[in-house]
Amino acid sequence: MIGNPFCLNRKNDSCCFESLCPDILIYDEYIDFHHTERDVIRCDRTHPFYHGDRNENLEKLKEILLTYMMYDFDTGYVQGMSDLVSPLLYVAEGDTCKAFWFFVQTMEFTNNNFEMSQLTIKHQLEMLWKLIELTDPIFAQYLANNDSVNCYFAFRWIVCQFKREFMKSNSDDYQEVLLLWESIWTCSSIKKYFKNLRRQQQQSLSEETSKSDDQEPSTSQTNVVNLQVEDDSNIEGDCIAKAASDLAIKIDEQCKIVDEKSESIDSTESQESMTTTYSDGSRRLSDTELYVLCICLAIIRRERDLIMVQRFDATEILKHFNTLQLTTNLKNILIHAANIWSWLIYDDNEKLLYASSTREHLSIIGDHQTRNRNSEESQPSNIRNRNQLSPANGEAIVDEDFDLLQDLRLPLDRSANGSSSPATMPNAPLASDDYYIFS
Amino acid sequence: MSSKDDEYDYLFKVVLIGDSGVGKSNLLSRFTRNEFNLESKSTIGVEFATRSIQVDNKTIKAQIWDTAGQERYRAITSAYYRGAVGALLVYDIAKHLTYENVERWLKELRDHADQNIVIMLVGNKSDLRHLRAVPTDEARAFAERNNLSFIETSALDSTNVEAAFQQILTEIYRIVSQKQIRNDNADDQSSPDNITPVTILPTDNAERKKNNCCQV
Repeated sequence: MIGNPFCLNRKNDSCCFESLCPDILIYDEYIDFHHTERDVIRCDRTHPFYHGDRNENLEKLKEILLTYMMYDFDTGYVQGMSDLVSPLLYVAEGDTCKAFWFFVQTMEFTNNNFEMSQLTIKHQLEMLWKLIELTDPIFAQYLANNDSVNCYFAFRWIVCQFKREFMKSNSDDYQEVLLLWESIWTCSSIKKYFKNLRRQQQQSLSEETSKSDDQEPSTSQTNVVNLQVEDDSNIEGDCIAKAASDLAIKIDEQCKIVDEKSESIDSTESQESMTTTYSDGSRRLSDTELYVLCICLAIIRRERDLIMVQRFDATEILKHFNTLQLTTNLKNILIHAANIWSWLIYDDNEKLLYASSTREHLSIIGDHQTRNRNSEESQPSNIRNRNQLSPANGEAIVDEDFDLLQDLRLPLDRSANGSSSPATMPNAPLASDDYYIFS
Repeated sequence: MSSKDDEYDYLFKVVLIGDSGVGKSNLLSRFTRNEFNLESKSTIGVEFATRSIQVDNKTIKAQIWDTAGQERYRAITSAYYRGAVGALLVYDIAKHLTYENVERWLKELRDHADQNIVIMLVGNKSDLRHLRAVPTDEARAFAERNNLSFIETSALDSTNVEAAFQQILTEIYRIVSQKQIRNDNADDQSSPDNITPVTILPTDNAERKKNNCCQV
């Protein structure tokens, strides 16, 4: 049981908190309390779980948020938290204790998004910009021309963990949101798992080569891929909570197996997910933060053609990204995000994000692949071509099995892609149309 | 579908600010879409909508930015004050605290917005008569002291919502068009366009056209 001050001090239902206020709370917390109340009454009210007047679950929601406010006093209550708690309380079937600790756990990943200075979230937006610059210079240029370098359009995505985008406006369904969140919560474990697996493979490979055996590669690799695919195919299932716990257990088991097998786990590696070390003055993103940016980028890549063809300006870009309804595109976006993630993590391109300037990025990539550099003058014709040639949201690919370990296919040169214009953007390791070809 | 397609004479950017839960989003949706939703979600970051109105036979396109109310997010939302020519500073007539915070918001505008921004104090939720915590006279006196226009609205029953936006946009239009006339008629002329002497009409016209092209 949690020590819920509001349970302990509850004399009557309505004002247990306010009775505490004068003595122990200072002004800001008092304000937070009012924010909590105001946000709770307008949180997911179309969902059956929170629907109707005097819904007891709203009271529970408030209780959790107020308890969290006391639990993490420095952060307090920040708008957006109610969005994060409501699905958890639903999963916990109204059990406030479970939901509270769920929430505490998820806040381990996202706590910094709510800090007073907002520096973490700004940093993430900066890194998102770098990621766009790195993977899609044409669109980066377009955004730069349209005063959107700050990437503020992704602000709510990150703060609410895409909840608004993956719930229909009148939705009664947390299914997509929860699936997406599961992938966010587990990305760090999966990364650790794969890195260990890879090390193990390398070890066994070197042993094998010394024995000069030619056996089949380890089967555990495919096990994990299946795990991923299973996860995706569960979209239609309606027992999300169970699926989530099953998945977590599976991952835990797999991790344990790996941990047992590989005795020499690098201690720095195992802590990597939580580190926020500064190197060269720039903060390293945590695994979760980076994965969330991958999802952001996957969404951006879906929309970038439309935005450039319609020639949206800064306000229209913001509006477009703010009003997206992506419920039906979850699987595609997860696959795209996993591709980008894999390209960053497993192909070791993450370091490009921390190169001190774009020029440096470009030169690093340029070292790997020699590409033509040229202007963006013929950009519009390029875009139009691309729009005709490649479907922006290929629904057809949904059932294609995705192999997480398979190398992210680096794009062909853009000029070889049927574009009538000779102009090609240089150094685009993940340029959009090529990306759509395999996704 | 793009806003570039529709015709307008002026484009004014107006921001909606004020504490969270005072009804900014609903004022916006009532004005731009004639919609009201008691359970609309809290605004995280910024949102915006547009609507065009007529003033003096000119089409004025209002681009209204709705910002998150919580202080925590001001680092992000204040970036959107840039270029705003008007601000609706909203409080809830039934929550005195939201009125007390008006001072804070004024400071926020002074720090981040253009100094000539036109500000209107809006007491929203006027339908909650029985819960009124801020007397109209007190708010009006405050507004006068601070050179703000003042109105009480109800996004729920539509009272004065149209009037509030109409009023602030008209005020902005007056200021802008007067500035333009002053610019046009450099020193001596203060006469309206239609009786401008024929002899100086060509140059005058050309100049005015140029000015009209500029975004405000």
